[in-house]
Amino acid sequence: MKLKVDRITKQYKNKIAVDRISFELTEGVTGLLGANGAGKTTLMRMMSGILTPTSGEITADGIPVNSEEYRAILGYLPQDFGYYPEFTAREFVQYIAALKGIEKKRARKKTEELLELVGLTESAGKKIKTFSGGMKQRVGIAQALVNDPKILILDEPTAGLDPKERVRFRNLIADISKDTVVLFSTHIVSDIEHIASNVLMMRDGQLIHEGEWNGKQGDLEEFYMEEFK
Amino acid sequence: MASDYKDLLNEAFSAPAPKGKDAFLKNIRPREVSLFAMIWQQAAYIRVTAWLLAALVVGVAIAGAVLKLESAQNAVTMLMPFTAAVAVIESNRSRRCGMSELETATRFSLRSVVLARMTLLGAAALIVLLIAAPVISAVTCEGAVFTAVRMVIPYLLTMSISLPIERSSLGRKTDLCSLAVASVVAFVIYYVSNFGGAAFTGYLQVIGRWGVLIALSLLALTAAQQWKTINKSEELA
Amino acid sequence: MNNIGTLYKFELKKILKNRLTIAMLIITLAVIIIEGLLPGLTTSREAGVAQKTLDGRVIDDELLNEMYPQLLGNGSEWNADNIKYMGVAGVEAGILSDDDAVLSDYGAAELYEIRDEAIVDLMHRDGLTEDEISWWQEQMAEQAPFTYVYNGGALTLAQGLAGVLMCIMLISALCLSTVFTLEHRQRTDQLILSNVNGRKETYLVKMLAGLTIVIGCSVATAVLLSAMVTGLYGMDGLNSAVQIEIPMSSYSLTMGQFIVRQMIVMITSSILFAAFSMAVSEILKNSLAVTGIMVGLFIFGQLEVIPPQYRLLSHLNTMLPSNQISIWSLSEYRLFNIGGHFFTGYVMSPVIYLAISVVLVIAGAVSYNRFQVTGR
Repeated sequence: MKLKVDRITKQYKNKIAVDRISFELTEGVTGLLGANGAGKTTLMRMMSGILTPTSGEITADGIPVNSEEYRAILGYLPQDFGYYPEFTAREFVQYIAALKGIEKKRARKKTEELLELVGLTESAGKKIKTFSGGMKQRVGIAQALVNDPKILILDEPTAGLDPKERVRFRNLIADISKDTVVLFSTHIVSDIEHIASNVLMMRDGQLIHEGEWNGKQGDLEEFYMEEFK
Repeated sequence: MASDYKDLLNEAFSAPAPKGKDAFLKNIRPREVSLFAMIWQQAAYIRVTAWLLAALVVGVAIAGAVLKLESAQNAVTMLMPFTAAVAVIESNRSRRCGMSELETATRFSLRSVVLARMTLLGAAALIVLLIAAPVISAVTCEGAVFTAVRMVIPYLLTMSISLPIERSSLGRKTDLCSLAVASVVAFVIYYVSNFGGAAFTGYLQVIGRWGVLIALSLLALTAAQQWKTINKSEELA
Repeated sequence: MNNIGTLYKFELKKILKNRLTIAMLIITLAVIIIEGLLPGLTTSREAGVAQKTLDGRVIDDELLNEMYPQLLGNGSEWNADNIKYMGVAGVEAGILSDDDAVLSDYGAAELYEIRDEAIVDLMHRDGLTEDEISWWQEQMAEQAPFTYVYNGGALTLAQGLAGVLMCIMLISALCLSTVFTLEHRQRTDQLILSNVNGRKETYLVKMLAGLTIVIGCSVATAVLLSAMVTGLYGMDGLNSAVQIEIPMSSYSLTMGQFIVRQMIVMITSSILFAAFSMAVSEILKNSLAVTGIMVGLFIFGQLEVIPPQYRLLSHLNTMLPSNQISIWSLSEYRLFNIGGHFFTGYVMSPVIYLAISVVLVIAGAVSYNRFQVTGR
């Protein structure tokens, strides 16, 4: 799977949020680093098809981002997403599965598998409003994976999680990324240090660094601080 | 010429750099802000909708008087519950917008902010009543006090029901509870006045005899609920 | 199809699990009970029983001459002996617009003549053309003389349906206006829109779920109210002419036929309320504004602020659902002229409501499908 972003731009009235960004991603984890307001969320929303670019193109193996076919292979975990307080974790994932066009029987089976994967089997029948922040994020990742996505876009998924939850989350993503294009945005460098094979850095809507990261190049955080001087 | 001399003097005799300026400024007590100034400050933060609705009630009353429409009485009476609902919504805006915790930590306590808002909106309602009641009574040829009581009872009833609901878990989760209460009260007014027949006549008779007492009782109940809301505002933050 | 069914169930669940929806449904139930019980509390059963003894009597000189000696206070005072004539006196008083007119001064023929002339005068006041007036006169040709039938039960139902429609309007305004806006406020729209079925299919099921709720409520409340009224008072007067209640009405309808028209208006109005509430709240991204508009229009409709000489505006005002369902809509004379054919409001209103609903649904769909998640 090749996810191609070609000269993507998003311009608002008096601000360019994303400025002619191009890159290509394949299977594995790509870390997207940048300070607040760099344009990470805007870029990810365009890659999820929920925001139309001003110009440029996003395709996955030639399938355009605004097509149903693209959305069928996409999993998206937004930053700070909402939920239905009265839904249980199980109902929530099943609901998203229906939105993803998954047949009911398969959706039920997949829901149980994913809730077990994220460690929520015991809480599956409880209402989400009773969940902690970490548990809600785990529901979030479960819903993003319910259609076995080929493209997984995660927007600051570890924000607000305690260190133990963050490590658990990272390991989960590392497992998934073997057959999936994963784009993981964060401004906490240690989140992707050990799992990202590729790193993108954004500042003021522009891509200032794109390249492989294999640890041999040194400390990513130092490198990041150097780039953002 | 004078400004040239001034510039030359400034250059020759520049003021020394301040010493201990920060420490001096820290020792100065914050200026006194009067109660009236604080209340007036809150007026700017009450949304335009609340004032517009009050103006609408007055507008309908005046239009009714000019066009000699008896139905204006019913229309104004049906609008009063919504004025109350908007007042309750505005009073609880801090909690709704998640600002309560921040406001609790500021110079003026959240309680005084809520009290200020309630005072302003209550004053607006009183002005509406003082204008609309005589104007409507001129059309209907009923007494101004009778008309005022007919208008104020739905207002106070809505407020006394909405305030406890807004404090409850239902009110904290749902935006439209106060509007729902206002809608139901308005509906009851509509139904009784159009289809109530003897019930409506009976209601008017009761208002005529006991209206002021009913209004005062509802006022006491509303005041009690407002007091509870103010007291619990920091608890619920 | 499988997913549409699942999504539809979830959307219904979202609406019905909203505590405000539950509260409004309980209130609607309370309203029906009150509407059913209130007439029994405010009018005496004996009066109804007495009036039923005149069922089937033609309002002619014989009946009027029998009634006149029994009248007290020119038909304003009633006791056990004369209460049976209350309905007939009401018909006569409704025809004579002058409060000072003495009822016993009029014979049947004179009464019906006065009625015909007064109706024509009112039609002229309302700006009807001569063709429209002629159309009505054809309809009215066979109406007189009226046959008296006690219509207490039918009238209670007819008035109750107007109250029920207001509850449906409130349910639409308060509960359905958040169907779309809640997704934006709760930030679940990102999750929904990024999925295959997140645009067209989700919009469709949300609309369907909302419409199901209001149509279901309309039918259920109508059935419940009918059952209550029948059980408590009997369904008297379904076959009575509407003129027994609204003497100046020019419609050749029985109360039963009028109630059927009311139910059609109620269901199509419910569809309109639901479509308006959901579509406009999505377009404006504001549920409070929609609630305000709907309630405001309802209150405005009660005002009678538009004089009849502004025919179009005045006619539009009477076409509002709250006015169209009211029993007073039977006094509406203005017609719609389409291709030389005349249609009454009862024929046109369901068509108009459905047409507007379709336009709103389409506009809402365009807005929803174009929505981009920005900011936040």
